[in-house]
Amino acid sequence: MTHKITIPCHTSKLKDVRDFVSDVIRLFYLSEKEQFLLVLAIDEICANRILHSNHNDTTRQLELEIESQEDGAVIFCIKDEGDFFDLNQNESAPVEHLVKDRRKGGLGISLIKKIIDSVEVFKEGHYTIHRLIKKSSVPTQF
Amino acid sequence: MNISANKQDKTYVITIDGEIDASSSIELDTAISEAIKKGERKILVDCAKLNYISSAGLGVFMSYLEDFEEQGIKIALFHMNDKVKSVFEILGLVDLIDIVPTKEEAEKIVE
Repeated sequence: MTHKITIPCHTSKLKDVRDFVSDVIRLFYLSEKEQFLLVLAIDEICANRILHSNHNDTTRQLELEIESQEDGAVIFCIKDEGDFFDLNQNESAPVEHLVKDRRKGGLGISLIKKIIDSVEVFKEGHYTIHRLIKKSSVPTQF
Repeated sequence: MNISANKQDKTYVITIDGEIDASSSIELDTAISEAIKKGERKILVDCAKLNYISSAGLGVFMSYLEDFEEQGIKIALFHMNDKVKSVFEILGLVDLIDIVPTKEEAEKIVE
């Protein structure tokens, strides 16, 4: 079963994304903490796409699909028309360096990588697709 | 999200109510920046009603740690729920900023 939301590319819509993800994944066999961290990871990738690849441009849209697999895995698919950026190629700076440089950014990708099991990034026509997979040891009912 | 700040005895207490994300983190940034400008040296952050924080919020705290060190400012976060604290824990930020269960413990840290 697939669940889908489409939002304008603006950070003021991140709350809608979080509420949507939270509502969907509460149907899955995940602990409260796992649910909280998945909401965080998807918030981070969407914020990253909206700010850095779509420049808060509300004329653009971001689409998020959530799908549960028979083996319990959850797949999040984020599709937008923003600039291509493969976060797998990004080496996150150590936190100590960010602190020394007084940087406010740079932690989001680290969070995503620590929470999500795998991230695939690819182009499909003029769309950039991010496919985030969270494995689960417990099968869902879907 | 709502942030308020007030002086309580010798400490300056910032109270966060709501969720801090990429959209609202600027308000936290402003609150901390104002505290520094006012010359506050003992800052407490009441997180009892902080329901969510993303990297944007973490980044605000991290970006001021050098200023705190240089200016002798002490800061402690208290009443933070376990879910929000887990975000700090994932990146090891609990080693860089004091997060304690109660206001009394926070007051001792900034004394």
